[in-house]
Amino acid sequence: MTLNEQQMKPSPSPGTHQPEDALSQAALGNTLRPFGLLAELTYRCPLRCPYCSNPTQILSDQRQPELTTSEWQRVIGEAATLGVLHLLFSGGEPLLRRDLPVLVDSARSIGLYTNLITSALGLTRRRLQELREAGLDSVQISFQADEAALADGIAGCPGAHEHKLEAARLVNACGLPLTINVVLHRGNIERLPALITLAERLGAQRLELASTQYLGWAFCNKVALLPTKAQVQQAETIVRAAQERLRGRMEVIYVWPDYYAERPKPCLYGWGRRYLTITPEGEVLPCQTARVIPNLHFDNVRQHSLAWIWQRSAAFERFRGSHWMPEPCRSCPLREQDFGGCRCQAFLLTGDAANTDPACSLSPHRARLLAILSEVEQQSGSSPSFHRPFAPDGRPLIPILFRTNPKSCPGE
Amino acid sequence: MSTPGEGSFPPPKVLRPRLLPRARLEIDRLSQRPILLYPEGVMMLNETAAAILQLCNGEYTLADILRELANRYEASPEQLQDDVYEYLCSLRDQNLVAWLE
Repeated sequence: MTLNEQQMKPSPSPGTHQPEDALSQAALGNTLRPFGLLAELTYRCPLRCPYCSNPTQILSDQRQPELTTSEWQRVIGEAATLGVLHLLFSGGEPLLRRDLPVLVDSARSIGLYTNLITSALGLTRRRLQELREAGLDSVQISFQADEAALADGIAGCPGAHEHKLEAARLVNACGLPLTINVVLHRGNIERLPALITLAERLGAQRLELASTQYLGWAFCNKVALLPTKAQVQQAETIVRAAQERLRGRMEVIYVWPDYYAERPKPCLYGWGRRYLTITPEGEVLPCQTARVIPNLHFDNVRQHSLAWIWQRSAAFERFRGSHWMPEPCRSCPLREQDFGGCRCQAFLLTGDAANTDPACSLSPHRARLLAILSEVEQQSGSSPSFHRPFAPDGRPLIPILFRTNPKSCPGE
Repeated sequence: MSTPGEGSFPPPKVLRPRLLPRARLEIDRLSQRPILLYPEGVMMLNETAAAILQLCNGEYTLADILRELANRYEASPEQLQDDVYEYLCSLRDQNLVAWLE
Protein backbone atom coordinates (compact mmCIF):
# COMPACT_ATOMS: atom_id res chain seq x y z
CA MET A 1 0.00 0.00 0.00
CA THR A 2 0.94 3.59 -0.27
CA LEU A 3 2.47 4.65 2.94
CA ASN A 4 3.23 7.93 1.37
CA GLU A 5 -0.33 8.77 2.21
CA GLN A 6 -0.14 9.12 5.93
CA GLN A 7 3.08 10.89 5.93
CA MET A 8 1.43 13.64 3.98
CA LYS A 9 -1.49 14.12 6.24
CA PRO A 10 0.32 16.25 8.73
CA SER A 11 1.10 18.77 6.04
CA PRO A 12 -2.18 20.55 5.39
CA SER A 13 -2.67 23.48 3.14
CA PRO A 14 -2.77 26.75 5.04
CA GLY A 15 -6.18 27.58 6.37
CA THR A 16 -7.59 24.08 6.57
CA HIS A 17 -8.80 23.09 9.96
CA GLN A 18 -6.37 20.57 11.30
CA PRO A 19 -5.85 18.85 14.59
CA GLU A 20 -2.86 21.01 15.32
CA ASP A 21 -5.02 24.12 15.32
CA ALA A 22 -7.19 22.68 18.02
CA LEU A 23 -4.25 21.30 19.94
CA SER A 24 -2.17 24.41 19.94
CA GLN A 25 -5.11 26.60 20.80
CA ALA A 26 -6.03 24.42 23.71
CA ALA A 27 -4.20 22.77 26.52
CA LEU A 28 -1.09 21.64 24.72
CA GLY A 29 0.56 24.84 23.62
CA ASN A 30 4.17 24.09 22.89
CA THR A 31 4.48 21.00 25.01
CA LEU A 32 5.68 17.81 23.39
CA ARG A 33 2.88 15.33 23.13
CA PRO A 34 2.38 12.67 20.49
CA PHE A 35 -1.25 12.62 19.56
CA GLY A 36 -0.88 10.33 16.59
CA LEU A 37 0.83 6.96 16.38
CA LEU A 38 1.39 5.43 12.98
CA ALA A 39 1.63 1.70 13.56
CA GLU A 40 3.30 0.10 10.56
CA LEU A 41 2.28 -3.47 11.22
CA THR A 42 4.11 -4.96 8.23
CA TYR A 43 6.00 -3.82 5.14
CA ARG A 44 4.41 -6.59 3.07
CA CYS A 45 1.91 -5.25 0.55
CA PRO A 46 0.06 -6.55 -2.50
CA LEU A 47 0.47 -3.18 -4.22
CA ARG A 48 3.68 -1.83 -5.74
CA CYS A 49 2.91 1.89 -5.96
CA PRO A 50 5.92 3.80 -7.29
CA TYR A 51 5.47 6.56 -4.68
CA CYS A 52 5.37 4.33 -1.60
CA SER A 53 7.17 5.78 1.40
CA ASN A 54 8.26 2.43 2.77
CA PRO A 55 12.04 2.01 2.75
CA THR A 56 13.45 1.61 -0.75
CA GLN A 57 15.80 -1.06 0.51
CA ILE A 58 14.35 -3.71 2.71
CA LEU A 59 17.03 -6.31 3.11
CA SER A 60 15.36 -9.42 4.39
CA ASP A 61 18.53 -10.89 5.88
CA GLN A 62 19.10 -7.82 8.03
CA ARG A 63 15.56 -7.63 9.29
CA GLN A 64 14.25 -8.52 12.70
CA PRO A 65 10.97 -10.39 13.04
CA GLU A 66 7.82 -8.29 13.06
CA LEU A 67 6.51 -7.31 16.48
CA THR A 68 4.25 -9.95 17.99
CA THR A 69 0.66 -9.39 19.03
CA SER A 70 1.58 -9.04 22.69
CA GLU A 71 4.43 -6.65 21.91
CA TRP A 72 2.05 -4.42 19.96
CA GLN A 73 -0.53 -4.61 22.76
CA ARG A 74 2.05 -3.44 25.29
CA VAL A 75 3.11 -0.61 23.02
CA ILE A 76 -0.49 0.48 22.40
CA GLY A 77 -1.06 0.73 26.15
CA GLU A 78 2.14 2.76 26.56
CA ALA A 79 1.08 5.04 23.72
CA ALA A 80 -2.23 5.85 25.41
CA THR A 81 -0.45 6.64 28.68
CA LEU A 82 1.87 8.94 26.77
CA GLY A 83 -1.11 10.90 25.44
CA VAL A 84 -1.64 9.37 22.01
CA LEU A 85 -5.24 9.82 20.84
CA HIS A 86 -5.13 8.44 17.31
CA LEU A 87 -3.87 5.04 16.31
CA LEU A 88 -3.34 4.65 12.58
CA PHE A 89 -2.98 1.01 11.59
CA SER A 90 -0.89 1.01 8.48
CA GLY A 91 1.92 -0.79 6.68
CA GLY A 92 2.52 -2.18 4.05
CA GLU A 93 -0.91 -3.68 4.13
CA PRO A 94 -2.09 -4.03 7.75
CA LEU A 95 -4.76 -6.57 6.79
CA LEU A 96 -1.95 -9.05 6.18
CA ARG A 97 -1.66 -9.25 9.95
CA ARG A 98 -4.21 -11.79 11.16
CA ASP A 99 -4.18 -10.23 14.63
CA LEU A 100 -5.42 -6.85 13.40
CA PRO A 101 -8.85 -7.16 15.12
CA VAL A 102 -7.14 -8.00 18.41
CA LEU A 103 -4.96 -4.91 18.13
CA VAL A 104 -7.93 -2.72 17.21
CA ASP A 105 -9.75 -4.03 20.25
CA SER A 106 -6.77 -3.27 22.50
CA ALA A 107 -6.61 0.30 21.23
CA ARG A 108 -10.32 0.98 21.25
CA SER A 109 -10.87 -0.42 24.72
CA ILE A 110 -8.56 2.24 26.16
CA GLY A 111 -10.26 5.04 24.25
CA LEU A 112 -7.97 5.50 21.26
CA TYR A 113 -9.50 6.50 17.92
CA THR A 114 -8.67 3.65 15.56
CA ASN A 115 -8.19 4.16 11.86
CA LEU A 116 -7.39 1.46 9.32
CA ILE A 117 -5.21 2.72 6.47
CA THR A 118 -5.55 0.09 3.79
CA SER A 119 -5.25 -0.79 0.13
CA ALA A 120 -8.50 -2.73 0.76
CA LEU A 121 -6.98 -5.89 -0.68
CA GLY A 122 -8.04 -8.53 1.78
CA LEU A 123 -10.91 -6.46 3.15
CA THR A 124 -13.69 -9.01 2.90
CA ARG A 125 -17.14 -8.76 4.43
CA ARG A 126 -16.05 -11.14 7.18
CA ARG A 127 -12.86 -9.28 8.09
CA LEU A 128 -14.75 -6.01 8.09
CA GLN A 129 -17.29 -7.50 10.47
CA GLU A 130 -14.50 -8.65 12.79
CA LEU A 131 -12.91 -5.22 12.74
CA ARG A 132 -16.20 -3.48 13.33
CA GLU A 133 -16.95 -5.70 16.29
CA ALA A 134 -13.48 -4.95 17.65
CA GLY A 135 -14.45 -1.26 17.63
CA LEU A 136 -12.73 0.10 14.55
CA ASP A 137 -13.66 3.79 14.17
CA SER A 138 -12.80 4.58 10.58
CA VAL A 139 -11.50 3.07 7.34
CA GLN A 140 -9.28 4.77 4.80
CA ILE A 141 -8.96 3.17 1.38
CA SER A 142 -6.38 4.27 -1.16
CA PHE A 143 -7.38 4.70 -4.79
CA GLN A 144 -4.82 5.15 -7.54
CA ALA A 145 -7.17 6.48 -10.24
CA ASP A 146 -10.85 6.62 -11.13
CA GLU A 147 -10.90 3.69 -13.51
CA ALA A 148 -9.50 0.20 -13.37
CA ALA A 149 -6.87 -0.02 -16.10
CA LEU A 150 -5.01 3.13 -15.12
CA ALA A 151 -5.42 2.48 -11.38
CA ASP A 152 -4.14 -1.08 -11.62
CA GLY A 153 -1.21 0.08 -13.74
CA ILE A 154 -0.18 2.65 -11.14
CA ALA A 155 -0.60 0.16 -8.30
CA GLY A 156 1.25 -2.52 -10.28
CA CYS A 157 -1.51 -4.92 -9.29
CA PRO A 158 -4.11 -6.25 -11.75
CA GLY A 159 -7.64 -6.37 -10.34
CA ALA A 160 -6.88 -4.08 -7.40
CA HIS A 161 -9.26 -1.28 -8.40
CA GLU A 162 -12.31 -3.52 -8.72
CA HIS A 163 -11.57 -4.95 -5.31
CA LYS A 164 -11.31 -1.46 -3.81
CA LEU A 165 -14.70 -0.49 -5.24
CA GLU A 166 -16.31 -3.54 -3.70
CA ALA A 167 -14.56 -2.97 -0.36
CA ALA A 168 -15.69 0.67 -0.27
CA ARG A 169 -19.28 -0.50 -0.75
CA LEU A 170 -18.88 -3.00 2.08
CA VAL A 171 -17.47 -0.33 4.39
CA ASN A 172 -20.48 1.87 3.71
CA ALA A 173 -22.92 -1.00 4.05
CA CYS A 174 -21.66 -1.83 7.53
CA GLY A 175 -21.89 1.80 8.60
CA LEU A 176 -18.21 2.56 9.10
CA PRO A 177 -17.00 6.05 8.12
CA LEU A 178 -15.07 5.92 4.85
CA THR A 179 -12.12 8.06 3.82
CA ILE A 180 -10.79 7.83 0.28
CA ASN A 181 -7.17 8.75 -0.21
CA VAL A 182 -5.63 9.49 -3.58
CA VAL A 183 -1.97 10.27 -3.99
CA LEU A 184 -1.75 12.78 -6.83
CA HIS A 185 1.00 12.81 -9.42
CA ARG A 186 1.42 13.49 -13.13
CA GLY A 187 -0.13 10.13 -13.99
CA ASN A 188 -3.52 10.88 -12.39
CA ILE A 189 -3.74 14.60 -11.58
CA GLU A 190 -5.74 15.28 -14.74
CA ARG A 191 -8.32 12.75 -13.54
CA LEU A 192 -9.20 14.93 -10.51
CA PRO A 193 -12.82 15.72 -11.48
CA ALA A 194 -13.52 12.02 -12.03
CA LEU A 195 -11.72 11.11 -8.79
CA ILE A 196 -13.89 13.54 -6.82
CA THR A 197 -17.01 12.11 -8.48
CA LEU A 198 -15.86 8.60 -7.59
CA ALA A 199 -15.46 9.53 -3.92
CA GLU A 200 -18.95 11.06 -3.89
CA ARG A 201 -20.43 8.03 -5.58
CA LEU A 202 -18.79 5.73 -3.04
CA GLY A 203 -20.27 7.76 -0.18
CA ALA A 204 -16.93 8.82 1.31
CA GLN A 205 -17.20 11.22 4.23
CA ARG A 206 -13.68 12.41 3.69
CA LEU A 207 -11.51 12.66 0.60
CA GLU A 208 -7.79 13.21 0.87
CA LEU A 209 -6.19 14.49 -2.29
CA ALA A 210 -2.57 14.26 -1.37
CA SER A 211 0.13 15.49 -3.68
CA THR A 212 2.98 13.01 -3.76
CA GLN A 213 5.71 13.75 -1.25
CA TYR A 214 8.98 13.05 -2.98
CA LEU A 215 10.50 10.76 -0.37
CA GLY A 216 11.07 7.01 -0.38
CA TRP A 217 10.17 5.40 -3.71
CA ALA A 218 8.65 8.67 -4.89
CA PHE A 219 12.05 10.35 -4.71
CA CYS A 220 13.44 7.69 -7.07
CA ASN A 221 10.57 8.44 -9.45
CA LYS A 222 10.34 12.20 -9.02
CA VAL A 223 10.90 13.20 -12.63
CA ALA A 224 8.38 10.60 -13.77
CA LEU A 225 5.74 11.65 -11.23
CA LEU A 226 6.04 15.39 -10.68
CA PRO A 227 3.16 17.27 -12.28
CA THR A 228 3.83 20.38 -14.32
CA LYS A 229 3.12 23.80 -12.90
CA ALA A 230 0.11 24.17 -15.20
CA GLN A 231 -1.32 20.87 -13.97
CA VAL A 232 -0.85 21.91 -10.34
CA GLN A 233 -2.57 25.25 -10.89
CA GLN A 234 -5.52 23.62 -12.57
CA ALA A 235 -5.77 21.03 -9.80
CA GLU A 236 -5.97 23.75 -7.16
CA THR A 237 -8.87 25.42 -8.95
CA ILE A 238 -10.73 22.12 -9.18
CA VAL A 239 -10.11 21.25 -5.53
CA ARG A 240 -11.23 24.64 -4.25
CA ALA A 241 -14.47 24.40 -6.19
CA ALA A 242 -15.07 20.89 -4.84
CA GLN A 243 -14.36 21.97 -1.26
CA GLU A 244 -16.94 24.73 -1.58
CA ARG A 245 -19.52 22.57 -3.31
CA LEU A 246 -19.18 19.64 -0.91
CA ARG A 247 -18.93 21.59 2.34
CA GLY A 248 -20.92 19.79 5.02
CA ARG A 249 -21.22 16.63 2.94
CA MET A 250 -17.71 15.44 2.28
CA GLU A 251 -14.56 16.78 3.87
CA VAL A 252 -12.07 17.42 1.06
CA ILE A 253 -8.46 17.67 2.22
CA TYR A 254 -5.86 18.88 -0.21
CA VAL A 255 -2.18 18.42 0.48
CA TRP A 256 -0.41 20.91 -1.71
CA PRO A 257 2.68 19.97 -3.68
CA ASP A 258 5.48 21.55 -1.69
CA TYR A 259 7.88 21.51 -4.64
CA TYR A 260 5.71 24.27 -6.08
CA ALA A 261 5.33 26.24 -2.85
CA GLU A 262 7.21 29.24 -1.55
CA ARG A 263 7.25 28.02 2.04
CA PRO A 264 7.84 24.46 3.24
CA LYS A 265 5.18 22.26 4.77
CA PRO A 266 5.10 22.17 8.59
CA CYS A 267 6.29 18.59 8.41
CA LEU A 268 4.58 16.55 11.15
CA TYR A 269 4.06 19.84 13.02
CA GLY A 270 7.62 19.59 14.15
CA TRP A 271 10.06 16.73 14.60
CA GLY A 272 9.30 14.67 17.70
CA ARG A 273 6.49 16.97 18.70
CA ARG A 274 3.11 15.46 17.69
CA TYR A 275 3.71 12.14 15.92
CA LEU A 276 5.38 8.78 16.33
CA THR A 277 5.91 6.01 13.82
CA ILE A 278 6.65 2.44 14.85
CA THR A 279 8.07 0.17 12.17
CA PRO A 280 7.10 -3.49 11.79
CA GLU A 281 10.22 -4.48 13.74
CA GLY A 282 9.63 -2.03 16.58
CA GLU A 283 11.91 0.86 15.73
CA VAL A 284 10.42 4.16 16.79
CA LEU A 285 10.81 6.97 14.27
CA PRO A 286 9.84 10.63 14.43
CA CYS A 287 8.51 10.20 10.89
CA GLN A 288 8.01 7.19 8.68
CA THR A 289 10.82 8.00 6.27
CA ALA A 290 13.34 9.15 8.89
CA ARG A 291 15.58 6.13 8.30
CA VAL A 292 16.80 7.77 5.11
CA ILE A 293 18.77 10.21 7.29
CA PRO A 294 22.25 8.85 8.04
CA ASN A 295 23.78 8.73 11.50
CA LEU A 296 20.52 8.72 13.40
CA HIS A 297 20.11 5.90 15.88
CA PHE A 298 16.53 4.74 16.33
CA ASP A 299 15.58 3.00 19.53
CA ASN A 300 13.36 -0.06 19.59
CA VAL A 301 10.33 -0.84 21.74
CA ARG A 302 11.90 -4.23 22.37
CA GLN A 303 14.62 -2.50 24.41
CA HIS A 304 12.88 0.56 25.83
CA SER A 305 9.47 1.82 26.84
CA LEU A 306 7.74 4.14 24.44
CA ALA A 307 7.84 6.93 27.02
CA TRP A 308 11.62 6.56 27.38
CA ILE A 309 12.06 6.70 23.63
CA TRP A 310 9.78 9.72 23.23
CA GLN A 311 11.60 11.60 25.98
CA ARG A 312 15.18 10.39 25.61
CA SER A 313 15.86 8.88 22.20
CA ALA A 314 18.68 10.76 20.46
CA ALA A 315 16.87 10.50 17.12
CA PHE A 316 13.93 12.43 18.55
CA GLU A 317 16.13 15.03 20.23
CA ARG A 318 18.17 15.68 17.10
CA PHE A 319 15.74 18.02 15.31
CA ARG A 320 13.41 19.03 18.12
CA GLY A 321 12.70 22.69 18.70
CA SER A 322 14.87 25.20 16.88
CA HIS A 323 18.37 24.81 18.39
CA TRP A 324 19.58 22.73 15.44
CA MET A 325 18.42 25.21 12.83
CA PRO A 326 20.81 26.97 10.50
CA GLU A 327 20.07 30.33 8.93
CA PRO A 328 17.76 31.35 7.35
CA CYS A 329 15.52 29.29 9.68
CA ARG A 330 17.19 30.30 12.95
CA SER A 331 16.10 33.92 12.75
CA CYS A 332 12.95 33.34 10.69
CA PRO A 333 9.67 34.48 12.26
CA LEU A 334 8.01 31.39 10.79
CA ARG A 335 10.36 28.88 12.43
CA GLU A 336 7.74 27.78 14.98
CA GLN A 337 5.11 27.47 12.24
CA ASP A 338 6.84 25.46 9.54
CA PHE A 339 9.69 24.06 11.68
CA GLY A 340 12.11 24.48 8.78
CA GLY A 341 10.13 22.00 6.66
CA CYS A 342 10.92 18.35 6.13
CA ARG A 343 14.21 16.88 7.43
CA CYS A 344 14.10 13.92 5.05
CA GLN A 345 13.54 16.17 2.06
CA ALA A 346 16.37 18.45 3.20
CA PHE A 347 18.66 15.44 3.30
CA LEU A 348 17.55 14.02 -0.05
CA LEU A 349 17.96 17.34 -1.84
CA THR A 350 21.01 18.80 -0.08
CA GLY A 351 22.83 15.88 1.53
CA ASP A 352 22.40 17.36 5.02
CA ALA A 353 19.20 16.83 7.01
CA ALA A 354 19.97 19.93 9.13
CA ASN A 355 19.65 22.26 6.17
CA THR A 356 16.59 24.36 5.48
CA ASP A 357 14.12 22.38 3.36
CA PRO A 358 14.67 23.58 -0.24
CA ALA A 359 10.88 23.77 -0.57
CA CYS A 360 11.41 27.15 1.13
CA SER A 361 12.26 29.89 -1.33
CA LEU A 362 14.72 31.27 1.25
CA SER A 363 16.79 28.07 1.25
CA PRO A 364 20.31 28.59 -0.09
CA HIS A 365 19.86 25.19 -1.79
CA ARG A 366 16.64 26.14 -3.53
CA ALA A 367 18.35 25.81 -6.92
CA ARG A 368 18.48 22.02 -6.55
CA LEU A 369 14.73 21.79 -6.29
CA LEU A 370 14.21 24.28 -9.09
CA ALA A 371 16.54 22.25 -11.32
CA ILE A 372 14.28 19.21 -10.88
CA LEU A 373 11.20 21.26 -11.72
CA SER A 374 12.89 22.72 -14.74
CA GLU A 375 13.76 19.21 -15.95
CA VAL A 376 10.06 18.34 -15.67
CA GLU A 377 8.98 21.44 -17.59
CA GLN A 378 11.55 20.89 -20.32
CA GLN A 379 10.66 17.26 -20.83
CA SER A 380 6.93 17.91 -20.64
CA GLY A 381 7.15 19.66 -24.00
CA SER A 382 9.11 16.80 -25.51
CA SER A 383 6.54 14.03 -25.89
CA PRO A 384 2.95 13.19 -24.97
CA SER A 385 4.11 10.09 -23.16
CA PHE A 386 6.10 12.21 -20.74
CA HIS A 387 3.00 14.25 -20.01
CA ARG A 388 1.01 11.10 -19.27
CA PRO A 389 3.49 8.60 -17.82
CA PHE A 390 0.87 5.80 -17.82
CA ALA A 391 -1.09 4.76 -20.93
CA PRO A 392 -4.88 4.53 -20.52
CA ASP A 393 -4.43 0.77 -20.21
CA GLY A 394 -2.06 1.30 -17.29
CA ARG A 395 1.23 0.48 -19.02
CA PRO A 396 4.07 2.76 -17.90
CA LEU A 397 5.25 4.79 -20.89
CA ILE A 398 8.45 6.08 -19.32
CA PRO A 399 10.82 4.32 -16.94
CA ILE A 400 9.19 3.98 -13.53
CA LEU A 401 10.56 2.10 -10.56
CA PHE A 402 7.81 0.13 -8.79
CA ARG A 403 8.24 -0.70 -5.14
CA THR A 404 9.33 -4.19 -4.28
CA ASN A 405 8.33 -6.31 -1.35
CA PRO A 406 10.48 -7.65 1.41
CA LYS A 407 11.80 -10.93 0.07
CA SER A 408 10.75 -12.98 3.03
CA CYS A 409 8.37 -12.33 5.83
CA PRO A 410 10.12 -12.92 9.12
CA GLY A 411 7.75 -13.37 12.00
CA GLU A 412 5.08 -15.01 9.86
CA MET B 1 -27.83 30.31 1.77
CA SER B 2 -30.94 28.65 3.04
CA THR B 3 -30.09 25.15 4.15
CA PRO B 4 -29.21 24.60 7.79
CA GLY B 5 -25.53 24.55 8.41
CA GLU B 6 -24.92 27.49 6.16
CA GLY B 7 -26.01 29.89 8.83
CA SER B 8 -29.64 30.43 7.95
CA PHE B 9 -31.66 32.54 10.39
CA PRO B 10 -33.83 32.08 12.26
CA PRO B 11 -32.33 28.74 13.30
CA PRO B 12 -34.41 25.72 12.29
CA LYS B 13 -35.42 24.70 15.80
CA VAL B 14 -37.41 21.69 14.71
CA LEU B 15 -34.36 19.94 13.22
CA ARG B 16 -32.45 17.36 15.24
CA PRO B 17 -28.67 17.72 15.26
CA ARG B 18 -26.77 14.48 15.43
CA LEU B 19 -23.08 13.89 16.05
CA LEU B 20 -21.99 11.69 13.14
CA PRO B 21 -20.56 8.25 13.88
CA ARG B 22 -17.15 9.34 12.56
CA ALA B 23 -16.80 11.62 15.59
CA ARG B 24 -16.51 10.41 19.17
CA LEU B 25 -16.61 12.23 22.49
CA GLU B 26 -13.93 11.14 24.92
CA ILE B 27 -12.22 12.40 28.04
CA ASP B 28 -8.56 13.20 27.43
CA ARG B 29 -6.56 11.03 29.75
CA LEU B 30 -3.81 13.60 30.34
CA SER B 31 -5.85 16.77 30.84
CA GLN B 32 -9.10 15.11 31.98
CA ARG B 33 -10.92 17.47 29.63
CA PRO B 34 -13.58 16.52 27.09
CA ILE B 35 -12.32 16.04 23.55
CA LEU B 36 -13.89 15.27 20.20
CA LEU B 37 -12.04 12.71 18.12
CA TYR B 38 -12.62 12.22 14.39
CA PRO B 39 -10.51 10.94 11.49
CA GLU B 40 -7.07 12.55 11.77
CA GLY B 41 -8.36 15.18 14.15
CA VAL B 42 -9.08 16.20 17.71
CA MET B 43 -10.77 19.19 19.26
CA MET B 44 -10.29 20.11 22.88
CA LEU B 45 -13.75 21.06 24.13
CA ASN B 46 -14.83 23.36 26.90
CA GLU B 47 -17.57 22.25 29.24
CA THR B 48 -20.33 23.98 27.28
CA ALA B 49 -19.27 22.52 23.95
CA ALA B 50 -19.20 19.05 25.48
CA ALA B 51 -22.65 19.60 27.00
CA ILE B 52 -24.04 20.62 23.61
CA LEU B 53 -22.54 17.66 21.78
CA GLN B 54 -23.78 15.18 24.38
CA LEU B 55 -27.28 16.32 23.46
CA CYS B 56 -26.73 15.92 19.71
CA ASN B 57 -28.11 12.40 19.52
CA GLY B 58 -30.47 12.87 16.59
CA GLU B 59 -33.49 12.68 18.89
CA TYR B 60 -33.54 16.09 20.53
CA THR B 61 -34.50 19.08 18.39
CA LEU B 62 -32.47 22.26 18.54
CA ALA B 63 -35.31 23.71 20.64
CA ASP B 64 -35.01 20.79 23.11
CA ILE B 65 -31.27 21.31 23.33
CA LEU B 66 -31.60 25.05 23.94
CA ARG B 67 -34.17 24.40 26.67
CA GLU B 68 -31.95 21.86 28.38
CA LEU B 69 -28.88 24.09 28.23
CA ALA B 70 -30.91 27.06 29.48
CA ASN B 71 -31.92 25.02 32.52
CA ARG B 72 -28.38 23.95 33.17
CA TYR B 73 -26.73 27.34 32.77
CA GLU B 74 -29.53 29.54 34.17
CA ALA B 75 -30.04 31.45 30.95
CA SER B 76 -32.88 31.78 28.50
CA PRO B 77 -32.96 29.70 25.29
CA GLU B 78 -32.98 32.96 23.33
CA GLN B 79 -29.73 34.09 24.93
CA LEU B 80 -28.02 30.83 23.98
CA GLN B 81 -29.58 30.37 20.59
CA ASP B 82 -27.14 32.20 18.33
CA ASP B 83 -23.97 30.80 19.89
CA VAL B 84 -25.21 27.21 19.95
CA TYR B 85 -26.51 27.40 16.42
CA GLU B 86 -23.32 28.93 15.11
CA TYR B 87 -21.24 26.26 16.84
CA LEU B 88 -23.32 23.43 15.41
CA CYS B 89 -23.18 24.96 11.95
CA SER B 90 -19.40 25.08 12.10
CA LEU B 91 -19.34 21.39 13.01
CA ARG B 92 -21.74 20.66 10.20
CA ASP B 93 -19.41 22.39 7.78
CA GLN B 94 -16.70 20.01 8.95
CA ASN B 95 -19.02 17.08 8.39
CA LEU B 96 -19.11 16.18 12.07
CA VAL B 97 -22.76 17.01 12.80
CA ALA B 98 -25.80 16.33 10.62
CA TRP B 99 -29.22 17.96 10.92
CA LEU B 100 -32.01 15.42 10.79
CA GLU B 101 -35.57 16.34 9.81
